[in-house]
Amino acid sequence: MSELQVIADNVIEGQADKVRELTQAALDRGIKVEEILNEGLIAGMGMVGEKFKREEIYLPEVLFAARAMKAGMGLLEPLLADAGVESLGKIVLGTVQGDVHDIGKNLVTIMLKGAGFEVIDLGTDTPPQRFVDAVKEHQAPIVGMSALVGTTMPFMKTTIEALEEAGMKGRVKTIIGGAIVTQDYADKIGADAYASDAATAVDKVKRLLGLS
Amino acid sequence: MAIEVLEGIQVNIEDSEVLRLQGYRKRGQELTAVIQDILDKAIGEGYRLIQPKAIYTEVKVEELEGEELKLENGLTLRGKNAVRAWKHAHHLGVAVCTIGSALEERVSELFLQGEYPAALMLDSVGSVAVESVADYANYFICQRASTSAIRIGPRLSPGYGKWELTDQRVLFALLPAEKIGVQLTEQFLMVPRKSISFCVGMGKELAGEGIINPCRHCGMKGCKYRRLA
Repeated sequence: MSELQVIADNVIEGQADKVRELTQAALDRGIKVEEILNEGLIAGMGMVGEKFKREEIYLPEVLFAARAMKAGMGLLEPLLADAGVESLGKIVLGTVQGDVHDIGKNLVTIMLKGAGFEVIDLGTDTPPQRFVDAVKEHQAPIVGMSALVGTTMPFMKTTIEALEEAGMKGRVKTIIGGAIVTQDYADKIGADAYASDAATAVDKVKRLLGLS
Repeated sequence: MAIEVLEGIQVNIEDSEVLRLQGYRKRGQELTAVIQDILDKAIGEGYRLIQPKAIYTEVKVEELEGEELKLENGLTLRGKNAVRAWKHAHHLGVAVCTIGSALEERVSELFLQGEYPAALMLDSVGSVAVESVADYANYFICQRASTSAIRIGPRLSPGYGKWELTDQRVLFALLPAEKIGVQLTEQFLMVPRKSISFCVGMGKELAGEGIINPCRHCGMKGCKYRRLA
């Protein structure tokens, strides 16, 4: 079994200390940063996402794996720029205006980062203009929005309209999610995708970016 | 009716309920030692952090008209489920319950520290704890009502099923929830987030459900948090 496969397996098992140790060992042996990232850490989280979708594991195991990946990333992050390693893509993510719920958004952030995306997390109660400004600042091609209740869901449509008014239609894709959000609602308001959970969000974002 | 702040609230945080919110739907499912450990620690920390409070009143039902329940003081509730469930109610028991903000602040802290499993487990503990406070308040209403042979109808909350969240303003007009530290935002969300508001029907001719699974009266069959029992 390759060294990188062992890293991946330890990510899956949620062994943060082991992942940190193995990542350092791989760096010390001169294995390329990009390989450790893609074939070790991201590969491990990819398997975790698949197991979660098949209901072989549940949220706690997913989060242990995410924590283990973070332990490895702590060593790789300072080296990524010099190694010329770029993220798979940027996503601006936030809970919409008036909504203070963040657990779902946090889970999506964790899974997207685990898949190799750069996430610009705007937090909660995010007005439409903040999404627009963040897209401009970071040149992000994807906007993700979360809302938990019926009174705040309409701000998803308002945000999509704000993106269109800013001339971003077609250039920026939107994905939405939340406890009572549905595919029908996404279709109704013109969102490009809907995700029912954090693991599915990763698949949908990859699809929106033409990565799968 | 007077407004009462309930004190000495007994909270029960059942581990099976916490696990259900984490996706473990089968009772008795085996956990790894690591997950059992974070569950136990989260429940322990939860009991230390929660500040359970509830405030309660009763309001007279004046009239039922279509899908509207007209209350005394000119207030109106609008909701198909609510109207149907409380058809024979002559009063509503109205309550706001909370566990305070300390637990959710700790959850945010844990997320920022990268302690994701502990954060999410503690968040689920908070959700179970506030439901327990609501159960306690519901039980209090049942006990009081039973002394006058009044039956209690289903417990429903604005924002669930077909009951619009905007009716929170009616409940918050009836109850000075700031007395227990709960505020309503412009979008009708409660802060602290681990807060629950509800009404129960009260009447001698109600079916008399007492404390029962509120999910039975909610039309969201696809909800992943729906309780089956």
